[in-house]
Amino acid sequence: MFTVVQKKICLLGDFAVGKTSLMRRYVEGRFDDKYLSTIGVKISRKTLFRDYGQLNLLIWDMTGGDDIGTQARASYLRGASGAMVVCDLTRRETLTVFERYAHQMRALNPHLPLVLVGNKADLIAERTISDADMQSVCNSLGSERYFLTSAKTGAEVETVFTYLAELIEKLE
Amino acid sequence: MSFPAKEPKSKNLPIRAALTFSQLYNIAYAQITPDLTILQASSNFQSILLDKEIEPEGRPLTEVLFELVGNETVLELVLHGALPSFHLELIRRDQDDGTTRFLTFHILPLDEFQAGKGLLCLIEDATRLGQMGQRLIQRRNDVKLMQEALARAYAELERLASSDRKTAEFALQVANLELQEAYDRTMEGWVRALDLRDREIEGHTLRVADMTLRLARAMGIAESEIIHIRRGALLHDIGKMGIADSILHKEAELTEEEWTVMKKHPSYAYEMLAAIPYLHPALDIPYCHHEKWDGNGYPRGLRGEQIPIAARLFAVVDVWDALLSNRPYRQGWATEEVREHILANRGSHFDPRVVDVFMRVIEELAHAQELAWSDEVCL
Repeated sequence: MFTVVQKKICLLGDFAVGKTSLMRRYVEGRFDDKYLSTIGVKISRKTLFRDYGQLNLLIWDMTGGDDIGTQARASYLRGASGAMVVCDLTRRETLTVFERYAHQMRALNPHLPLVLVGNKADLIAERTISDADMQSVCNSLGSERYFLTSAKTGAEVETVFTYLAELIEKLE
Repeated sequence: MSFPAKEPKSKNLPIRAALTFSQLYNIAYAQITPDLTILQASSNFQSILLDKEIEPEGRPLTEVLFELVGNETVLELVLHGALPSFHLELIRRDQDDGTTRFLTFHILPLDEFQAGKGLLCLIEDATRLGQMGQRLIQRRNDVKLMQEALARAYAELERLASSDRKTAEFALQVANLELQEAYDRTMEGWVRALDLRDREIEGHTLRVADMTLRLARAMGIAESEIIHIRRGALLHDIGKMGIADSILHKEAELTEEEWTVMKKHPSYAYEMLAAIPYLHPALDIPYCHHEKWDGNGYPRGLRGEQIPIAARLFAVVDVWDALLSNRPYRQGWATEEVREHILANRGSHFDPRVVDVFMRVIEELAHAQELAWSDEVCL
């Protein structure tokens, strides 16, 4: 029997960390250097073919920088099967929001599959968030690992989405 | 408006949700039929998403319904009257033609007086509001990014300035050390010139400088003062540069008049060195080393603690070294004789406390020399 499973995943993080670029790279396989803030939520679908049928990932890319405790944002997060929290490795300021979002997501749903992503890994010389910083957030959340991605080069983008999809499937 | 009015295609569709789209100004609505529970709707939404046949013309239903996926629990609360309404604001939709539209969803009970009758989904085209909001958010984010970049730039400037300041401080320290080195070399040049002129005191200057430092440390003088004491000891007789050779090199006893001239050498030293700020702290010894504890010294007849401590220390060491040394007109005294002389003048010529410490120092030195000598014998 061909089964179609649909799962909602949310992208969270401070503004301009590259959430939309990560989604675009994953879904459309392209990258655009131009920065345009996301407003509200942008939903994209990525279909993964599985032994059992098809897994549709509905990727919700949300406005960055706002508190997820707000009612509107909480409603966006409701029903999510997984979440990806993103920071910009070149802007240390984004680490604070990164940690806050990760902990708020954990508080909303302690069992939610959650992956931590440091984006813009290609900008090595400008990097201000270290592996130790990322590991520290991982440890505080009890997460196994974090990912360093580059939406620009595509490095680890497929890996991190696949990893999250597999975490979600394991919970089924 | 992109959601044209459309009647349900067929009552025999394989789903029980009959969705109606209608246009009312800029509001479209989807009606979820009363016989449909929300949990059923959830699974049916998936069916709808897959069923191309029921997509209204020009606009796939999927785009409308995506936003409701994952919100079934909330929708159920609205259906059963637990929540008056549910809103999803400014949902962004990128169109195929490259434009962006913004939608606002308002989910209301179909019947405000009877729960469970169904839901009404009003879809408002909020494109203008969305674009305005987007511009505002874009500006806010641009400003924040600029602020962050400025903060980083300021931090870098601060780091560079601090680095430059440290470099400058280091350069200043090096320059200062070089200047001190130059002063010391000049001063040693004067001392050598004086030694050359006054051959009878050859080696005396360095010996008394060394001994004075030992005594000063034994007296607990601060290390910061030691350098000035050394300079003062080296320059103690610099005033003799102003004394005529006929007096300075006279082998016979000096006459009273000659002594009067000779006693002027501390004042000459003062006049020579006072013009050099760098040597001000070192003036005590050249100017006051002939003062006596009981006030019978020269040039000013200071007494007791009026005499600077550096000069009181030096006075003992100077006499000690002078009496031990050979002179053209006499042999050097035996150590014990000199020791007795110093002790005899304790409290008259010399500061008693300084004499006590000096005696301890020379005993320690003698002991150290004995040990060194016995080591040599053993070897």
